Amino acid sequence: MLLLVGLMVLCTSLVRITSSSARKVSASVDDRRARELAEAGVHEAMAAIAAGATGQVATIDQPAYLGGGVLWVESTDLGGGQYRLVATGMAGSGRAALDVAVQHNGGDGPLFNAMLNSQDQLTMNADTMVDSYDSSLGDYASQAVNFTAGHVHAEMNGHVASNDDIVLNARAAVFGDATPGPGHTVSFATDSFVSGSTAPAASEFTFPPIDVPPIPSSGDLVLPNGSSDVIPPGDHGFGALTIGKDATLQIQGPANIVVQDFTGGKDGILEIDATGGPITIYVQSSYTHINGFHAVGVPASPVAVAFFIEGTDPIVFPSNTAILGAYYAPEADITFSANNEAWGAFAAKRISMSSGMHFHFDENLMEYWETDTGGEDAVQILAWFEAEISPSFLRSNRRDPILLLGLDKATLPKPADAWDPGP
Amino acid sequence: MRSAKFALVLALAAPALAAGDAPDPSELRAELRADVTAVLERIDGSAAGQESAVGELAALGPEAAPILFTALSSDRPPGDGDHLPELRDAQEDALIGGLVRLGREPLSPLLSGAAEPGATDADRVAALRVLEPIGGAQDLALAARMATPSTEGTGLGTDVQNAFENAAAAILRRDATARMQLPFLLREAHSATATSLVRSIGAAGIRAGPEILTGLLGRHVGLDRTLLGEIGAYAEHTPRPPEEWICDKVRAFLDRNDPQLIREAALACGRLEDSRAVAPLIDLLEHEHDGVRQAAHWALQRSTTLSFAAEPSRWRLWHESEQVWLEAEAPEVFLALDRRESEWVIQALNEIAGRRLHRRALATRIQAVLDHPEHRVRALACSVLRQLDTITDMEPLAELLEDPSDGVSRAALATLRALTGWDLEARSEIWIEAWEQDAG
Repeated sequence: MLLLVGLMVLCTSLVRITSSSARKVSASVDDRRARELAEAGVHEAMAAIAAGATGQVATIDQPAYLGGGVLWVESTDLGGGQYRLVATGMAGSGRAALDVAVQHNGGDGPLFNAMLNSQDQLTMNADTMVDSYDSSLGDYASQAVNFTAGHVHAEMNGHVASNDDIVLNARAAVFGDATPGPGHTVSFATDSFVSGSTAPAASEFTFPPIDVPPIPSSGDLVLPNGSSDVIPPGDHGFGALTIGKDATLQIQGPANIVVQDFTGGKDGILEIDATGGPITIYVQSSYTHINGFHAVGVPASPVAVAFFIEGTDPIVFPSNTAILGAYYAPEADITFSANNEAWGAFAAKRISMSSGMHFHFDENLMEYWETDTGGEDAVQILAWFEAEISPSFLRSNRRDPILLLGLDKATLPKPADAWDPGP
Repeated sequence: MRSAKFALVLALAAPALAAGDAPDPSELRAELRADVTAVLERIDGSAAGQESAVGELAALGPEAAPILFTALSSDRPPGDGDHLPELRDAQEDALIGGLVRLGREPLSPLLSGAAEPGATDADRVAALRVLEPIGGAQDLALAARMATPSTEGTGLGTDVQNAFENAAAAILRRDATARMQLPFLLREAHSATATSLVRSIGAAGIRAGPEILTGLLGRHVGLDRTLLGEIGAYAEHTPRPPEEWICDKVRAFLDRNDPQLIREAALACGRLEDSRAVAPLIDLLEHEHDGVRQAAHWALQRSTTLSFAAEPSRWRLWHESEQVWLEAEAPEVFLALDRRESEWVIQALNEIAGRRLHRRALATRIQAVLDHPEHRVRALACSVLRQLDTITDMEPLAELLEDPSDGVSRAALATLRALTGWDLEARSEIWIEAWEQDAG
């Protein structure tokens, strides 16, 4: 009998110990879950700020529901782009709060941060190659001193991006990242190569609309065959700008030039003097590139010229053409014919190319043309502390938050649906 | 009609023939070309007009086959000179339709000719476009020959590549026996052709696609990266969970020495949402190759739905906590799930909702609760499945669309839509049928 009682006491003690241990483990796990929720809240608030919202995510009265727990974030605008975020997470008996200071940088990022940006599927044809160099450090040839995967190349920031799939045909090489759209893939053929990442983007990129400056037209500018002319720094507007056969037009930067149509004639030359600043040419209708036309930098000048093309007409670079400069054509298709080589950057609705194309991204271009990326990279964490959860009854009462706060789970929003947009 | 006209001409010409005065074949061909051009010019873009044009072209008879084929290949109506306009899409479709309707016999010499080493890319593309709507298993090898580069060391022209992938994908969809030729064709084909063939398996979107592709892993030099990409693409486009052996074979590539392979394997593991790959993926966050690190990070976020930064210690902390839960608490939680008292089940469901490792196994357990007698348990189970963001079996969830409780049926519909991305009506048979038909 005594033995039986002893055994019962022992068993009861073991059950209590086991239950106690289990409760401790459970509490520890719940605290971790709560912290994860608070971290998720911080990231959600940062995304909201980057998108122009206040950073407030849900409230204690109507928190957001995620993974069995709840979260909310209180946001205080400190001015100068700085915010204070207090994120609270609750899961089971777990409680966690984070006090975070963030800086919103206005979201400006480079407009050209990849060599090729194609909304539609990007096919890198056989034997094509993309790499990068910096025109402010010298010409491409002086920087093409590396040998990888059977290619002589310069640097490895020659990224390509698409909102769709990226297809690499035989022996195509990207010395940089190849970033397909969300839910899309990079497809490899024999001996094709990507030096960097092939992970898909988290979200599709959008082309910001072209903001054409209101520069009035002074009429057409037509350079007769074999002639030359100079456009000084400043703002200039033309109807048609035509560089005739064997003609040379020098543009001195900084300059903004608005034209209705642009034609680069056969063997015509566009001389770029960007020593004082970049040159931006806004083409409101059509861009025509005749065989042999090319841009060139004057000595000691980077080739800081960008064509912003509003029209929808296809842009075709004829065969045997050297293309310098950046081209931004969000509504048009760009086609590169046989035996072309390009130094600059290209963004278009669809980019097509023949076999053997070589593209060299000019990293210097990132310095001149910016856009509001709106991405989370625009918001940076300055400081991060674990805080005391508030109000205090949440600390002392460790019941499940749904029960504690009297919530109806079915009505709780997801974090992404709980942003406070602000006034 | 044209054949009858031909016969009549021959009959009338018989005396002349007998006298050694035969009708001029070039004149007959010129007439046929004119007839073809006239039909093409009349195409107005309407469906009825299209069907009529196909019928008229086919009625010209087998003698017209080379003319139709040349027009398709040259992308111009029959005639001389460069001034002829390019064919419109509707005209091309009519030529293809007319050729198809003429039957196999007049097409055979044209198709065989396009598979010869000296054939032009234009002829190959035209032949592949004709094969696409009619080709069977016996044509897959022929199509592969058309897609073989004529010069050693070169790749396929983009047009030929695209036409071959479309034709091969159509053949694989149409004729299940074509798949049996794949191992042989891949072994014998030019490397560029083999790559396109692998892509066509992906493009075919057939139920057996992932199994076919996975079975080819490690068997053909240079194809593994393409195979891993296609396996991942299949997983990307279907809510169906993959077979475990597919995950096992893909995961094995995480141990390779080639960073290019490891990177693609990591991405594939992410798309397959392979929980057993989590530990090696965390290790890959410290790989020397930046592309591998990024792929591993992406795959971890994708597999777990967590958005931690690429800090190995953070991920390991989380992974350890999940392992502890699985070992120490999960057994009790699963026992609670089996109980019929709703409070125990609810508590267990809430506990499971926060887990991010082995979500499929957890989803399978939760599906057993979908027939619980209490409606709030059934509704909660639907919500938890949505939180886990995974589905293993459609039927139990689809049947809740007809649940007597509105709350349950609404929760089931919301969960089905969230987990599949499909926007179907709230009827169980529609969802079950869509699941059966889904192949990727």
